[in-house]
Amino acid sequence: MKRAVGLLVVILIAAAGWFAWVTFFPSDERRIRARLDEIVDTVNARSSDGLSRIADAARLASFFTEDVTIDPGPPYPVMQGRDAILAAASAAGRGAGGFELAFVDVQVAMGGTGTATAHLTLTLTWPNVQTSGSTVDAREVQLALREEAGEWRVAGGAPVQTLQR
Amino acid sequence: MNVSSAQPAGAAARWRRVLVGRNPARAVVRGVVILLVSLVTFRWVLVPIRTHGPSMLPTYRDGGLYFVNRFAYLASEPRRGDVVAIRLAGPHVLFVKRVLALPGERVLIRGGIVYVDGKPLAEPYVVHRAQWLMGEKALGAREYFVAGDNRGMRIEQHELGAVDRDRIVGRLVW
Repeated sequence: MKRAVGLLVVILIAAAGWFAWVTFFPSDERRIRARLDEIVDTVNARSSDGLSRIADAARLASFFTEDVTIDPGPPYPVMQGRDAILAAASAAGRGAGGFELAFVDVQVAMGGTGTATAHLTLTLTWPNVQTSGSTVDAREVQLALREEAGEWRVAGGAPVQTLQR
Repeated sequence: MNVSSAQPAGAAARWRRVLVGRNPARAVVRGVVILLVSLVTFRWVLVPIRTHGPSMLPTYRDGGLYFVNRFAYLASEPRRGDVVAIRLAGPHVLFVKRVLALPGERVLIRGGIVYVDGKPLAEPYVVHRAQWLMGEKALGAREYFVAGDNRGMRIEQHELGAVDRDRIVGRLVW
């Protein structure tokens, strides 16, 4: 009985140690996933007052490298630089009822030093005024990420053609 | 007094028998088996999906609940006319499309009519037909050409094209 209790205590300590290690020293993949979650949360927050909006914009900018290039796919033009991304996000947020962003089925692959790619399905959900339901647009996307000053940032993004015309 | 107190006790016993049967241990085992069978069935075999968007109208309505048979193509390959589920980056978001052309075939769209190997495809499920135009495309050895049933949409707003066999996760059953 004493032996079983001892074994249980060892297992609990090992589990707590593993949990602490993962929490305080996350792997690059976990940090990237957390970063992508932060992007989604920030985009979806949509603060209403002016100061918070400025803070959200600054926070959103921090998720991208200075030279970020995003190709949304036809018919939209390629966006280059943080300012272009922020302008596009702001314009999209002003649309009727705004939208809800989600990253689904995220797969992270580590590259060379300080680089990684994330393959995911991006969904945008809009309220549909005609049906009083919602409209969902789903795209498969490949993101390039780069570590700068200890933070993972999006350096590029392009659509993956699920169906080839 | 005795009668009135005996009635609730009898009713409780009846309800207990209805819910757990005569043997509670067997009832637990039965419950666990049902739970496991349901879990396996609805997670790996008949996967429930909810459709969004008008691209499969009128066959599949926007917001409807349907099931994907993931075992449909274990022993056979997708056939022309099958409505299939296609994965994007993973299994949680799927496109629902109809197979129009098979590997090795040539497909083109002119005036809204789909031609496969030069012959017009009979499509009784298409109700509205816009003047779609798409140049000829030769499919590879593992490629299927898919599109939605709603051809009344503008082609620019409609997801259609060739898809690799590996992306087809199953066939819609309802």
